[in-house]
Amino acid sequence: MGALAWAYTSAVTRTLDDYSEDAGYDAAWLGNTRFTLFRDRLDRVTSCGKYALQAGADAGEGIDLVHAELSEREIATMPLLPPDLVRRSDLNHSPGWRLGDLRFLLASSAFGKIDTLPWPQKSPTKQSVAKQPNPDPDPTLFDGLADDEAAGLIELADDALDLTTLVSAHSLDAVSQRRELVLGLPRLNDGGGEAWHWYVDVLAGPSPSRSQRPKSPTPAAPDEVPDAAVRLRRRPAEQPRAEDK
Amino acid sequence: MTTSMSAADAAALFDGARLTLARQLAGKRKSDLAGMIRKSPTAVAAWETGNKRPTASTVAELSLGLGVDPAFFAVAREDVSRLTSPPHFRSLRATSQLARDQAQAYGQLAVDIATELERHVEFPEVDLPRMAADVESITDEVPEEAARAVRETWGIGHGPLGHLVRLIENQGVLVVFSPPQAAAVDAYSFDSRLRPVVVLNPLKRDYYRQRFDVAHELGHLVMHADAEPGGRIVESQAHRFAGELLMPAEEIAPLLPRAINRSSWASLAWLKEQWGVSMQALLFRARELGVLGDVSYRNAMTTVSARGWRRAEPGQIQVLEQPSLLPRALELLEGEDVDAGLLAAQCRVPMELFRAATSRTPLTAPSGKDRGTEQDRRRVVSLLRSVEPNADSDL
Repeated sequence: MGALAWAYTSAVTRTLDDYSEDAGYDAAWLGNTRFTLFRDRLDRVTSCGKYALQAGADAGEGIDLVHAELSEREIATMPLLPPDLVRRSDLNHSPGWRLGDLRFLLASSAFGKIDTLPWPQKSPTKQSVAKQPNPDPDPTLFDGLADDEAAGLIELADDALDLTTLVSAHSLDAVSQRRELVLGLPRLNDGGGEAWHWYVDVLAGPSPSRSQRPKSPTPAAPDEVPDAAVRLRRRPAEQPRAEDK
Repeated sequence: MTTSMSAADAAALFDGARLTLARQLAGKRKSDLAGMIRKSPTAVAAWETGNKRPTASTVAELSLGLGVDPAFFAVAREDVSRLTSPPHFRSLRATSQLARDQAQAYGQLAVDIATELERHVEFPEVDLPRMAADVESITDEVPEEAARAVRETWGIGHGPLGHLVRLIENQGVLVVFSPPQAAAVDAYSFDSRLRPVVVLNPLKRDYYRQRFDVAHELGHLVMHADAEPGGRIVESQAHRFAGELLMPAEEIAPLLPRAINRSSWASLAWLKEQWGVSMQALLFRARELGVLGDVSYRNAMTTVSARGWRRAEPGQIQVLEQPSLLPRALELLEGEDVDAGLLAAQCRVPMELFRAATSRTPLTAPSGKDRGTEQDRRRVVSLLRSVEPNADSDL
């Protein structure tokens, strides 16, 4: 979780650092860059992708490449994971990372819409992930079925994913620079509604609060404002006088 | 006292740092200057570092080529003008090194002028709260806290801010306009041994946007004394500081429109006059505070662009806030029969730049050549050429 949070924070910081609407960048650039850098930072922190090490190699090998273009703070706060703890495990070309028997993919979301992220509008891969059954479901009519019958139904619903696959959904509001990052089990929400069986907030932090207390402004002061307090010194230093010219 | 100095005397008292200053004011590289007087760039570099001393005839050539009196090159009396923080420019990508050097050199002259005038008059003491922001964090809340601290420290209280330039001048900040030739550089600020300085762009003839600039630069002075200038986070923090200082979230949020319709434009126009900020700043603030959704904000900005308001927004106040510290000091001294030309000579600032820095309003470049196009304006031109062709620029 710490690695996920670090990777996203680093990716967003750099993305916003480069982003300039005035220079002609648009939301598509912003979204694509955010995703690209998020994937890159996850590869860095997990020693995957182009930052992978051979088995048995020292974790410090080529660390300068892992640190390339990162700020001092990012380097200082980067979690140290054993290089073989996490492996890349893409699903139908969708970037994925595997830890033990769990895999997670990435999904972008509009800011503030993560709870209702429309999986039916996402790729077939994400849809199949969202079809996974909830391992800890609410009571249903099938609760009385024998285990092997239930397993058969799960098999049908599962689209035969090889691993339990979670999704890390991320969002960014470029204007306010607020962002969201969650990790959870998606729920296929045909027709809208809840997009998750469960998720955890990876960036648990306070959201800005706003007082709605109404208040009327007082009119601005008129422009006729006296000069700042400037006064002659009592014993002026040698002052050049016109007649000295 | 005398106001002129021979090239021979200037050569004897030559200070390399003054040559650097003159070259930067002229907007020239060392190689440009070397070509102009038919010497090698190595020689120019050696004069500037003090490793070599130019002859009297070379000083005369430098004086002629750069457009300053030979006395300009003589060693400075004191070094208070040295900047203690690098100037904060909006965009390092958009502001060339030459333009930055020139702007910094002009800033030094402004401090030189203030130093000279403060021998004769008293300015308000510097009272600036300092709160260092974390310039690597996009979520650092110091900008908003610093803006609130400024209101509290200066006893401003709630509501819209009045004359912003006067507010910071009364806390000891020096505010001056850039000369018209330097209009390509946006407002900037820096700290010096004497006092903090804000330099305003002379062509931004918009009362509301100028106030935002002043608040933005105040943010740099309060938060970024030690920060590397020009970074996006640094700029964003100064912007957030300005937003909170001019439009405190608690007070403005309930007043901002939650959707954009015909009546919201009238409401924005009213808020604009009440709070002294542009409608675009209000819209951005509404978006920033989450009062206005992204789609509404973008639609509103499309409307702003379609109406031509992006470059020129309608507003009732047509005059700019004006600086008063240096102009008032000059008026007081002139009232005591002290000659401005001699003051300029004493601080060894070319008369036109002295006038630009001590003016209540921005000077204009009168000749057609100086007006130019936007593209022309982005070229760095010498500040040492006369602003008005017939002005007495000799010292």
